[in-house]
This record gives sequence, C-alpha cells and structure tokens, in this order.
Amino acid sequence: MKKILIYTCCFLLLVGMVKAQEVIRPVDKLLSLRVGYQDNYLKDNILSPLHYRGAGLQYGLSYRRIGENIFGISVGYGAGEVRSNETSGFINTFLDINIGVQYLFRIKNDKESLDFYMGGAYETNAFFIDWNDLDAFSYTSSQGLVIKGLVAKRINDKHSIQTSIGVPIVQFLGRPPYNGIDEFIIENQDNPVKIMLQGEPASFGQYLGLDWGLAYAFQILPGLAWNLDYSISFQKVNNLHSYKRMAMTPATGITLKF
Amino acid sequence: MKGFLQVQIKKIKKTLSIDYPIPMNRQNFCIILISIFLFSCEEAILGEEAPNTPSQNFEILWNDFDRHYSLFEVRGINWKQLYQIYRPQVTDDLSNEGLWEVMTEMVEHLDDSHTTLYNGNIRYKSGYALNEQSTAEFSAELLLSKYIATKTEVGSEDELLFGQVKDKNIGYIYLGTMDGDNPSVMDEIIRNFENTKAIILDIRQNSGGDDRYSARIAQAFSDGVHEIYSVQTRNGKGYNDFDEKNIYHTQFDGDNSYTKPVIVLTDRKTISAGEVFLLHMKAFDHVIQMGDTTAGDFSTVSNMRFLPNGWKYVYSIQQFLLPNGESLDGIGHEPDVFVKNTEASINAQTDLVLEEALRYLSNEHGLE
Repeated sequence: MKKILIYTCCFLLLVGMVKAQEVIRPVDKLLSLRVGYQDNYLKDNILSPLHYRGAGLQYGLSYRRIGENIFGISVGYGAGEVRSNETSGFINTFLDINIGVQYLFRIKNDKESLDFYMGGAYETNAFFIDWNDLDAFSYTSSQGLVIKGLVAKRINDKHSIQTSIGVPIVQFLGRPPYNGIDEFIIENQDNPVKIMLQGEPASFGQYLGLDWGLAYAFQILPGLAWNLDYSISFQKVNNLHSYKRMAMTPATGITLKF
Repeated sequence: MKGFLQVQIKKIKKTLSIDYPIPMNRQNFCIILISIFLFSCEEAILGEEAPNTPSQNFEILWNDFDRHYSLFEVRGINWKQLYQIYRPQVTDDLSNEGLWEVMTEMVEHLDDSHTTLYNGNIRYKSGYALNEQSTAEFSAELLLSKYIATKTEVGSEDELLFGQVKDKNIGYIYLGTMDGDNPSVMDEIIRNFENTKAIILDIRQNSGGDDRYSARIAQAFSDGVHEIYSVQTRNGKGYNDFDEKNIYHTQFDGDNSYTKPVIVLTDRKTISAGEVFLLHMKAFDHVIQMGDTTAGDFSTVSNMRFLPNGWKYVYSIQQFLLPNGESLDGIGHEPDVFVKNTEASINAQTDLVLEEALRYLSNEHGLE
C-alpha cells in the first residue's frame, strides 16, 4: 500500500508539471501493424514445478493520436509453444492477449527534437497456457491502471527512436484457484473469458509488472514508416503458487499516417 | 572483478570492432544490459530449477500430494507416516525402476483410482485391482446377442445404445461413459419407451466423464427436485481446508420424465461421473440399484502434474458429501440388490446381473 501511494504521488507530481507547449503541434493519427518473435521464460507453480522456455509469433495493432498529448489504443495477440528444460515431452501451447488504452501528457522541455510524456493506461493482459488439450492448464490475467512514461527523439527527418516504460499500480489479478480447478471452473468451462477475468484486487507486493520498449522508426514516405522494436515484459505473482514470466520480443512493422 | 570485466570488454570491443574508448561505468552498464536482456540469464529470472534426481522427484511428488490431495481425512490416510516409511528407500543412486516401485507402492495406500501415475510406458492407477477384474465380469457381446431383441446405437454419443429385452415389454439402455455431447438425447430414448413397463439402465463399466452430463441424463428419470450432494475443493495447506460447499440438486422436467420402475445396473468399474449419476438416480423413488458396489471415486481429478524426470500424475482434489455429511469416497454406492457376475458365469454365457434384474421385475412388479 505504501508503494502504491509513493507511485501515485510521483505520478501526480509529474502530471502537475505538464504544461501546454508554446508551439501548437499538428495532430498526427497513426495506425501501426507489427509482428514479432516472442521469447518466453516461464515458471508457474500452478502448472508445474518445472521451468519453461519457448517462443511464438506476436501480432500487434495500434492506433495513436499524437497532438499535444498522446491518446492510444492497442491490441496484441500472440501464440506459440514453451517446453520444459528437463524433458522435451512437456510441450505446452500458450496464448497471450493484450488490450490497452493510454493517455500520455507531454512534459515541457527545451529541446525541440526530444519529447517526454507521462501518463496512464488501462490495460488488460491475459496469458493462457495448456498442455495436451487442457489436461493441464494455467492462466494469469491482469486488468488495471498502469503508469506509463515515454521518451521520443527525432534524430532527423527520416529517423527517430523512442523508449517507453510501464508499471502497473492498481491491478485486478486473475489466477487459477489453489488446486488449479474448482467447481466454478468446471461449471464455466465453456466460457474461458469468464473464468480468466474472475479475479481479485492485487496489492503491489502480490503482483509486480514491468514493460519496457525500445522502438526505431524509419520514414519511408511522408505517410509511411518502417518500425523496428524490442520489448521486454516481466510479470511476477507472489503468493502460495508463484508465477514468473519474462517475454522478450523483437518485432518489426509499419506505421501509416493519416 | 574489475579486471575480469575489462577482459570481457576488450573481447566484446574486438568482436564489434569498437575502436573508440568507452568509459568504465558505461562498460559496466553495457555488460549488465547485454547479460540481462540479450543473453537472458534464465536462473536470474526464474530462480533455481529443481534438479532431476530420484530424491528430488520423490520430494516433489510427496509434497504436491501433501498440499493438494483432498481425501487424506476421508480415506483415513496418514500421509506423513507414509513419508517416514518410503522416503528412506529413495537415494540418488536408485534406478528409475526402483523409484517407480517406491512411488506406486506409496500411492497404492490411497486406494483411489483417480490417482494415476504415468512413467511414459506404464500407467498405474491406485487401488485399481478390483476395477480391472470387473472387466472380465461383463460382456457386451453376450448381452446384446442373448438378452436384447433390438439394438439402436445413438450416433451422436459414445457408448450409448438402447433396445428392448427379448420377449418382454422392458426397455434396455446401455451407457458406458458420461462424456457425450448431447445428453438431452435421453429424452428421445425414453419417449421410445413410453409404452414399456420398466427400463433396465445399464451403467456397468461406465468410465465417468462430465458431472453435468450425468445430471442431464438423470433428468429424464427424475421425479422431482432433491438435494443430493455437495462438492468442495481443497484450497489450502491443511488437510481439511476446503472452499465453500456447492450444493447440487436433481433436475426435473415433468413433461419429459420416465417414472415407471427403473433398475440401474452397476459394477466395480462404474466410476466417477457414473457414480455421480447414481447420486441423482438413487434420489428417485422408482429407481433401484442392482449389481456390485461401485468404485467409490467421486472427485474431479487435478490437472496433470509433472516431475523433472518426465513422469506425470493426477490425483483427487475434491470431496463429495451426502446431505447428511457422509462421504462415499472409498466406499462406493452399495447396491439395493447385490449380485455379481464372475468370469466363469460370463464364459458360461450367463449374465447373472441382468437375469436377476428380470427376476426382480417379475417378482416385485409382475412383469413377465
């Protein structure tokens, strides 16, 4: 609780520093498509005492409206396989779904080619893993507020880079029950969304998350850019059945401006 | 440490042909970033993985049961005492065969055929000897050729067929699993039997499946709504830690219900959702159970569990209680009329259970 208060205070202080830029910027509307290769490290004690590693393709679609501030919506979908280190027999498939809405405020600075943003997002993330057609399964879903920061640097007319970071603060966490299955899951087995979104508020100590991204953009045409991204996502659930997952995703894609 | 880092930096600079100096603090930063993000030190992220040794595999299995298995109290098992007996037998020199023997011997004490171990080649079920034996005490071929006049298999469902008993106005239904897709098909079957005087519903060798399927099938024979059982799932480290009771009732649809005499035939291999089906059926006044005592394994099984050596297992995670608080786990449904086939009677082309059912209908209900 103390940590949440500290983070919230920092967030409010930073938002308080926000001032409108003196130069009115044109509004850009950007639509981005990306595909990445997601490398996962996983340990989920509900699923297994073993460590898992594996990869899959990750697809993303996002819309951003960039003016004085940034408004964005993003959807991500990934699927692939992870396998245990000890034996190749335990191959699990996974689904990774992410939906987010964000609003970032520009923070005033003196450098014209450098922009700082700070704001918040509401994100829903769901990671589902199963072995042999649901003979074993587990999931982790989180919904809630995330503090986000972004730094964008225009190198010249053609090249730009940006880096962003997100830290969840207030989260609604969904995890399987103590024994992996209970009557609620059995009764609702035909409605996985209902199962996965059934969760409880998680304290900062119970659920830790961090998203970091680095993105490079090359402007091919005035309305078209090529992107190269690298992102790292870390999730940790501290309870009786702990969960740790780290996903690293190099990705590429295009951005259309309209 | 500093010297080591400098050597590593030199190597990296040589590899990357970096020919301008990098301050030492940047070098450290680069090394850390490269280590964490690119080479992804798995142990740093996930912690140390349990080693694949006989001792560690035994410890994982024993502890997993200790924390999650639901029926130690109901079945009167002293699990900690079993640890004292079997743990000393496991050393890191023990062969795979030896470890398998120790684990299966320990798990056999549970006498719970929902507890299954797999080692890649062999599947072992705890307390399964009697269930296995009963396979030889049932013959579908004998049944259908000697006793049933017409036979209709229901295409949409597995192991569901119906017909009429030879020379009698008695319906016969065989249901070998509770794992079908369309349980409401039972409404159509009983409409076919509208003019029969009774039904023999055979669930011998029923391998279980989905409790919801059992409930819907039973609805076709329901005489009302009755409280029949509750289910709780273990939810803590204590052997008696369970979540809230989920109370179940029989379902009822007065327009689609067969309420003439029904005899349900059972054997030792009638298990799990097959036994849950019996919980429903035995709540109805016009239904009796005939045959052998059922397996006595009600709980839903756990997700598959995994060991570092590649073995897998499942176990019971729930307790089913009757409205009076008693459990039938480890006991099974005792029949109203006990009768049992033997391998010899099957070989002699006689199904003693079905014949007793026909005799009962004749004696008690005058159905010739």
